[in-house]
Amino acid sequence: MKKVFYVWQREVISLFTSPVGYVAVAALTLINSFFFWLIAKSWPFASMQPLFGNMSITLLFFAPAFTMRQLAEEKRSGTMELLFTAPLTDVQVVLGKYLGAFTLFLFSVVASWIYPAFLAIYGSPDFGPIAAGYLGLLLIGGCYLVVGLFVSSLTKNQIVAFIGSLGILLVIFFLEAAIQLPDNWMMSVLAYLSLSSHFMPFTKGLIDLGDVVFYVSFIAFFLFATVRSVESRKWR
Amino acid sequence: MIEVEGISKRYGDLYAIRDLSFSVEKGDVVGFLGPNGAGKTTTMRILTCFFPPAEGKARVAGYDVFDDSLEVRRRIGYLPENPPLYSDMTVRGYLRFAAKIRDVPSRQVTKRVSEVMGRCGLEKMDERLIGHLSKGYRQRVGLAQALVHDPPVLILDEPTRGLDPAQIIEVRELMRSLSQEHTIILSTHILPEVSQVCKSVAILSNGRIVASGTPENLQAGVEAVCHLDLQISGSMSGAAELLSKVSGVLSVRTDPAPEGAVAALTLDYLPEEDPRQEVARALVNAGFGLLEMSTRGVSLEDVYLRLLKSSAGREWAGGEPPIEESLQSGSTGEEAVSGGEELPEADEAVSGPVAREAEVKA
Repeated sequence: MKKVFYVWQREVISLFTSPVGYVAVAALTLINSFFFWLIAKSWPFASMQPLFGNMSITLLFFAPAFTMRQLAEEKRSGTMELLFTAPLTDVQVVLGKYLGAFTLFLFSVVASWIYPAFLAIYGSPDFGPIAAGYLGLLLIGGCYLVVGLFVSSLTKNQIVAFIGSLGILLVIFFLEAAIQLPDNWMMSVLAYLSLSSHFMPFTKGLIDLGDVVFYVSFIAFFLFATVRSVESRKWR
Repeated sequence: MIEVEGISKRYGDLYAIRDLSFSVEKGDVVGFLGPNGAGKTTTMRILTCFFPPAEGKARVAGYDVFDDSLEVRRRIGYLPENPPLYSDMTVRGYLRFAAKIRDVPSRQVTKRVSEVMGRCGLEKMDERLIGHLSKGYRQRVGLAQALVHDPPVLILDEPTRGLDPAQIIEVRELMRSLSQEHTIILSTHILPEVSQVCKSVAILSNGRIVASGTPENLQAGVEAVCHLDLQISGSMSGAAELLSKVSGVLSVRTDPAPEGAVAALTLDYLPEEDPRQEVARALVNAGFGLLEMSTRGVSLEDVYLRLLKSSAGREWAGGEPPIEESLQSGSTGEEAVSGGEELPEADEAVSGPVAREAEVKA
């Protein structure tokens, strides 16, 4: 656990000494603020529900930027050899990296607390659904980041990592659209696997254990896949 | 300290190393010599547990690199060919990180980092970002990273690569001082480095060890021509004629010099027929002034190039499967080119004797 902490610590130092972290958080906050302003102008209730929907999509575009360099850059610059010849297990490295990206994501989440703050100043929002919405945001964000980390482990090139994870995320996010097709078991499975279909209940203040389990297992699965991908250097 | 038994590693159809065995005693400094692509880096990556061998066993300090990989990693300091540096960290921050992930107790981290920065000459650079450092300093940071946990075994992949001559000497000094208390494996294709630093040498070619031993033994094992450099005063052509008659002298070359100045000559002779006494006597008796006489033994370069040539020859004669053959010859072609870049003087050393013999006959 201490080793995970050390890897995490280095990751955070790196994210905040390079401009990538600041730019990503700033740009994400900018676009979210624009949507908040639009919604506040047109929506008559002091609620975060529509904004959470928007944020889950803006984040989808930014999460790959948080993770694209994480393993790809290690491979390209050769620092991979430092990590994997030090007494660290592959699991410790992957977890440390993941938590590092998650920390950056947390900063962007904290920055978005200005929106409920505005709502509280100019209206009287119900904080229950807002808290549930944030829980959902953390979970769906965790899924975005883990896909990004996984794709980053497959390549040496940051751009490839970014585009690749963006593509995969878009597909998984919009799988829900399959439900519109004629009813058939495969369509409902695909719709179930969609990231977006599990998110909407959270924004309404509904925490369904099934949705939480879905997101947590999604994250666990991709963390496992990332560890395997990193391990593949051993038998390739 | 290090025992390797029959390890192999393939990339696709191409063997990076094949059935490699060797052992390194505690306190030894072993040099891996070989062209690019000979398998030096692959062997090092196996010893440092970056990946396990496909076949065979390797043990470091009694621990298997596959079964007890974490124990091995604790005991190894590794400097890869490209120093594994995070350009967005400060030198101190980076070394602290390296110390912590290598199990240096947290109370000793600060002390160890300062120590190792002193040893590698990095004290003034401690708060610089690694990305802003020159190549020489980066290499030092890489070396510091390998030393920070005071490992009993050091594995250094081309530790003097990209350094200027003064820095190369510094790093060699450092390695020499480290060899007191560490077991070191280093790879290089700079040959003088090996004879200066290493107690023994293993020459790799196409994933195999083609020769190993102390630098002296390797040099003795190869039958080659020795050279004798002379500086004399007096008529050069007369001296050349005189010396070519001395028994044991194979050939005489004169270096063009203005008339009346000091003349420089080079003699070739076989080591077993040492003509030095005869040469001196003949010159003095004939009235020449003998100003300087020095020998140039068989250089390690001679040994190296000869072995590489003969190992390539064996591969061809061995009747290996044709597809593998073509792949290997492809890689040897590449090696020959890069080897030529690195060792211009070595090329002369090989073509030299042949040309000289021709001269004598003429």
